[in-house]
Amino acid sequence: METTRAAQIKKPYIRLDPRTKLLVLLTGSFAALSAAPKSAEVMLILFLTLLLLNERQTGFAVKLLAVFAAMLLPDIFGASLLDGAAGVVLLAVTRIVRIYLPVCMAFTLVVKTTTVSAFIAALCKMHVSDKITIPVSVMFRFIPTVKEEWQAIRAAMKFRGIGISFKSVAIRPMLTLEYVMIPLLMSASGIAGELAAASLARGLDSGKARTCVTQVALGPADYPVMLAGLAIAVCAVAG
Amino acid sequence: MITLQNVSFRYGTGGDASGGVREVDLHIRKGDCVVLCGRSGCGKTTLTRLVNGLIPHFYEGVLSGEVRVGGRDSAARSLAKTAEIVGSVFQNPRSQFFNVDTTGELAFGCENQGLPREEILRRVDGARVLFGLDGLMDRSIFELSGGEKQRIACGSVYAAGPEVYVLDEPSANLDAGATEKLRQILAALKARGKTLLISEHRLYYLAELADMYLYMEDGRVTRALDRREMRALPPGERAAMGLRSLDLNGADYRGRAAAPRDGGALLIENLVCRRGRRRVLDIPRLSLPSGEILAVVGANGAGKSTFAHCLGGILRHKGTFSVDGKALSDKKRVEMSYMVMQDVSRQLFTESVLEELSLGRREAPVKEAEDLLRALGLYELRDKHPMALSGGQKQRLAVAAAAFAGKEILLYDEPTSGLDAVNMRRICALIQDMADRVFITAVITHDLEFILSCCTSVLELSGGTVTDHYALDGPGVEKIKRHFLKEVVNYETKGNSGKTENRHGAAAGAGGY
Amino acid sequence: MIKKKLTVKDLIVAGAFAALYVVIMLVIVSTASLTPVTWLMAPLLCAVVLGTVYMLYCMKIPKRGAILILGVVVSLVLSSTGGWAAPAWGIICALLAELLAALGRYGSKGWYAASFCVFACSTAGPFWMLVFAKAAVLATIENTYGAGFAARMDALTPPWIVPVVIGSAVLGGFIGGAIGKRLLKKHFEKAGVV
Repeated sequence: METTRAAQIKKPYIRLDPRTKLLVLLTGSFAALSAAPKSAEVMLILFLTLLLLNERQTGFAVKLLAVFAAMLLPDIFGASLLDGAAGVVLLAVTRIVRIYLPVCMAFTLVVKTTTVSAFIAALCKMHVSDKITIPVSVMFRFIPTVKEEWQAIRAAMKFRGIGISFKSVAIRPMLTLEYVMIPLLMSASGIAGELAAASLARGLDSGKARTCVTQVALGPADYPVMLAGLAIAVCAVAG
Repeated sequence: MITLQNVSFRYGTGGDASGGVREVDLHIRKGDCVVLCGRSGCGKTTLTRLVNGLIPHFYEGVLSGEVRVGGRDSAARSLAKTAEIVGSVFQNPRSQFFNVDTTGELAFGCENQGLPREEILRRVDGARVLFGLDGLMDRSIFELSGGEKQRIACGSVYAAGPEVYVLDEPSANLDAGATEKLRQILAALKARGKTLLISEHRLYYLAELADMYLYMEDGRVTRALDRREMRALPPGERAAMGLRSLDLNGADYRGRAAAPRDGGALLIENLVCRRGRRRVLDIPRLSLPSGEILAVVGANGAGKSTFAHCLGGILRHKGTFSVDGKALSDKKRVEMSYMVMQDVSRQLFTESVLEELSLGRREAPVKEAEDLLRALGLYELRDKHPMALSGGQKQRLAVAAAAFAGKEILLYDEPTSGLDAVNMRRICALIQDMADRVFITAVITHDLEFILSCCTSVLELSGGTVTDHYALDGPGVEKIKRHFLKEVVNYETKGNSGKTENRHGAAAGAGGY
Repeated sequence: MIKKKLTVKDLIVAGAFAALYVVIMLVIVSTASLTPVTWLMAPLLCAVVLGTVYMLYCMKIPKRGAILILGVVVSLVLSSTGGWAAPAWGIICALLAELLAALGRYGSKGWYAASFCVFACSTAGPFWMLVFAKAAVLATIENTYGAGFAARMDALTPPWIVPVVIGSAVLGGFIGGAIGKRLLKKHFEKAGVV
């Protein structure tokens, strides 16, 4: 076998349809933002953790579960004892973090575990227009590119003695902004043009129905997951 | 298979005719491998775009004449239809993939054609077997090396099943080993009767494949040479045409002996750089005499970039750098050094050439700046926007900016990738000229021809350690040639298990500052 | 007016610019949210910085629908930080911005800059969630700890905070649009990129 520095992409235990994941994101963010009782909150987090574990995002899932547990502690034990401003602030902060955690988990579930091709296929099946499907999939592909460009530009700036410290932003905000934006925009629009040429030269604009090498179909596992997602949302909203 | 009849094209709709081709007549038979060569800007790329349909469907301009591929007029056919019979591989591995995962990318062309899933899987598997992509399936493309990306690009095109392959400088960003791998892929395609049209500066790897060379000048095809005629071309004439060497091993040493200077040396001690838990660089002791032009060579992931970034002081590391016992801190070295990047566009910040020089200097002496621009042939362009310059001009501007800022350590990251012989000689002259003024010059490069015509010493890296460091004298020249041949041979003997590439992989690209 | 219909090339360019827009936005927001005061300023800062990205994008695709597409994609990402209200709000902002650009017949830099004042407000979307999240938090707190405790919490986030944040985004949009217009002329037009 050939050795490459690129790690193998993780395969889930049970493959879920991207549409199921999108539904989980939707119901999850609804549930998180309603005045859910703690039981529903815990259920939602455990549900999302299971889904992430299924996708082998173990490290991330465990980390967020731990944060959630830590944020639950003051609510159970300390906060009622801590009267006064400190208690209020502590409670508010932990509660807000707990609202954002499930949204963040569900978002990761959709973004990190779906290939571009499967994502396009799922959106097609949902009859989403190309006008959204293509930009969204290009965006996910382009985010790492922006990161690469940014790192190179940062290095170039250091060699030219252009810093982006608090000081430089405070003293010469306009100039600093210009030195950051110009190379970034120049190179990003160049790459975007080349990407467009390459994609079209490989028949992206065929007008035919695209097929997808990853099977995108609702399987036996998808329905229980969707139902569970909906049930948790209902529990949370109904209190 | 491909016929061009009296084809002319110029970009844009306005009056300023830039680039393009003029009155090209061409006929390429099925199964032939045709190489387009000539200096940068001669119209090679335009010709490839005419064949793959990007002209006139993507790039706008004025087209006359007729381009027929597979019997039909490609201007009258949609780009997607052309894509079914013409597959394209482009120069820049970073910008030509649409997917994030390799398997998805291999299937991309087939998916666009709307082929059934089973058929796509069969074809992707065919590409995997033919091109030896086993180790590259189900990976994130962003973590691949340039050579690996280029192989995925070839595989993806192959899976789509075209009869004609159009490749625009596919080796521009590849090292010797990856170029050899590319040669194997092209040979496999040729053996399957595919028609190949390759625009390229590096000719040595195509020597056994090409049936015909088309030499272009100023938008016209001025000479057509078959394999034997090209071989028989006297080196002097070939050089006058601005063509690169046909034989990697035959390249001659044309450099000059290192001018001995008593400027001391830069001493590097106990240099260790980690990325995560992995040691990506480990150099116990290294002394770099001033005035030398040091070629930094090694396979992908050997630690070349990491070394350059540590030297330039922009990457965190352990260990010390000193001159005559005086330590040079990271901060000091950042102030002293400058890196000319492979993609120069990322390091030009201002709105005019003259401005670019004085950036960062409060009271820049205009006279001095203008003299420098004159010396580099940029004076006429002084009011132009740096991004409106050609690639070679941008490169010279970046070097000029370093010189004007009084930098003492000059680092070049693959300055000759995608350059024709004339531009390569020009950048050689520039690097040599600059080397006389600065303390240290180090060049990361994969280009043997360049090393032999410009550098004075070599630093071989492998797995983050120095495996050899020698002057480019008689034995040194033999050594560096052996080094490059070894890279190629490793691929030939091990075939699909090319272990030289990325065995010691450093983290992706310039990652993690 | 040249071509009005969006091509696949336009859609790919749109995706690339959306990525740039989103990355810069997320970097600013995550840096700004280190302190509460800068957190409230995040929409303003985003608008000032992103004006150039927006203006260049509009010049690259001067067609109907381009702004809406950017708006939809940005909104989808914003949903990661605040559920469903952010995208709803973002799409409303994008529609209004599209309207302003249409008034300039998709060819006027002035109108495009004006449209950015509205578009920039989309970054204020997650702040709407403050209102909803607050209701949720207060409800649970009232159940557990009583009304007094809840009232004190209520005082921490006054109701006028959302309009103020939106106002700051409009101001930032004005500044960002002006910067964008200037840099377009200084760099991108001179270099022949647009």
